[in-house]
Amino acid sequence: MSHDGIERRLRAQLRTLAEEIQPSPDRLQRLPSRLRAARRRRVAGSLAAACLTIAVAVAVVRVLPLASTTPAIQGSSSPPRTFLSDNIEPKDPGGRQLGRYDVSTGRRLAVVSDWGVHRWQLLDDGSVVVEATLSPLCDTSLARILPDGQRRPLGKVGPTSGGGDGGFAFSADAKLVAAAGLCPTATRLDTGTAGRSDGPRRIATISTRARLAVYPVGATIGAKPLSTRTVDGRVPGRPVVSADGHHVAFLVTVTNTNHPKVEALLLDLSGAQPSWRQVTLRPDSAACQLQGSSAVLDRHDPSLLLTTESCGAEQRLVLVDLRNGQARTLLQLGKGTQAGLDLDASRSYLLVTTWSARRDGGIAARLTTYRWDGGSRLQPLSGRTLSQDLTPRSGGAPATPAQW
Amino acid sequence: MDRAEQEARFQAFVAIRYHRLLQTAYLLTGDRGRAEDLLQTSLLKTWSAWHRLHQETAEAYVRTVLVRTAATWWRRRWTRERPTAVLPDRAAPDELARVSERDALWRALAGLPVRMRAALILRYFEDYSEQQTAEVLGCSVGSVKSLCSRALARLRTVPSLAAEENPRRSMR
Repeated sequence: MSHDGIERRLRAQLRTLAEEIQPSPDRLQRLPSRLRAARRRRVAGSLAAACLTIAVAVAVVRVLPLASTTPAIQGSSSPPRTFLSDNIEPKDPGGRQLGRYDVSTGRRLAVVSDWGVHRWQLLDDGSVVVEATLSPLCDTSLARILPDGQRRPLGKVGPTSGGGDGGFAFSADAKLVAAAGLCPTATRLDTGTAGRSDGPRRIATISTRARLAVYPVGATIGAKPLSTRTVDGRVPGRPVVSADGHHVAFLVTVTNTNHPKVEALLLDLSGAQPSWRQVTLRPDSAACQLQGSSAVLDRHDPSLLLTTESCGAEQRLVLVDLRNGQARTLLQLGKGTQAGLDLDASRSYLLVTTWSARRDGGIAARLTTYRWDGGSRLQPLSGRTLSQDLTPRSGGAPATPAQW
Repeated sequence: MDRAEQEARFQAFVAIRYHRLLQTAYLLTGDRGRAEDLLQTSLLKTWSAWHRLHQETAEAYVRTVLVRTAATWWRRRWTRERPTAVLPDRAAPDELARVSERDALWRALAGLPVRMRAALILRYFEDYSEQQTAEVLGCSVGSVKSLCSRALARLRTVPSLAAEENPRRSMR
């Protein structure tokens, strides 16, 4: 087969396409510094390899014989150094990336996912679980990104979103996953004005129902949930799993009342049969509103829960006693629109992100690290305003950090 | 050659060849940002081997790294949807035909397997011989011929490439 004609046209058209791209001066300017960094890394790598060889030799001789009798250290004794967050992909204004960031500098150290994800969780083995797809909306698929970058599909967990809320949470041992989200149930046509001045018209009202579920996890997520519950008129936040994996707290905001309130639907998995309990959470002041979109459980006492409340423009960190639902203010977090909470792998350090509106219309994010020894024993360690390009979403599901 | 001299030579090489290499990276990836990342990664890899490269073979070395790194990235790529805030609608009524031809060619290139695409770009953009292309791809000349032939067969569906052939065929 002769390709003469098509070869000639292809040559011409490839040149035309190639002309579309011009070198950006900033890339060329940055290259020398990248070269120096690459050289430093190479030298450091050689030194590290030499040190590692010596360390391994020493370990083989001195440490390994004791390893079988030495208990494993549970969790980390140092505060988290990195966290996960998404940011706007600079080259693709509509796209987002999930990255690993340095807590102390706010700089991005690595890209975990080069596509936008709405929710994520770091597991103790270093892998990251993300929402792989939201389609269909009511049956979210999760995927696991291993530390080497491989992606493994995990299976479906029902809805994990709806109006921007909801989410999923794995237990520390990754043996179970809790998921909460909204799903449309019915569409009703009513007659109303919908704010229009040109008279009444038909308005579609979509009813939604919150589904709360816990699934067993092996290599993939089990097809049959351990327990599931549906509730109407409530918007769920991200579920919370206790350190031992025996208790799950689903915080839901009741929306069909004049004064929104937050309830906790508590699932106890420690017995032979899963049991549910419901408690209404009460802020410590009538002027405050519990948020319920983000929370963590005490690692020693799963009846204690940390979450946030807003009192006017002020954000507060509160400790809730789930036995009676009473909240008690622990800290004032400053002015902001929303706050997100997360714990590190040892469950000893609390990462708090607060978001507030900037004067230029953008969103400012601040990350603060605390040592949390349970209950009200909270000690601030460091705080940092995150860089401008690290712009967590505002509203809906909080883009909470997670320690790497 | 000391380190400073090596660095100066490398920077001179990059300054001269950057644009052309960037064009190759762009055709390989079809995306401006990825092309810049691909070229930067390839240049950094080249830099670590620079001390043992000859001036004459350096460019061929970068091209080989470009093609092989692009193949690695392609294997790891994520093909699911990417959420975008605004749909990338382009209003260009006056250049509709040109834009649609260009898009058709991009789509056709993007639909080719990575080695087929690389073979095509090396042969018809870089004007490499079949032998040179085979060396970069690490395969036989026969494989290059087969890759290019199959790639061209697929590209015949692109109207702007097939346009002049159809009348000839109809005249036979």
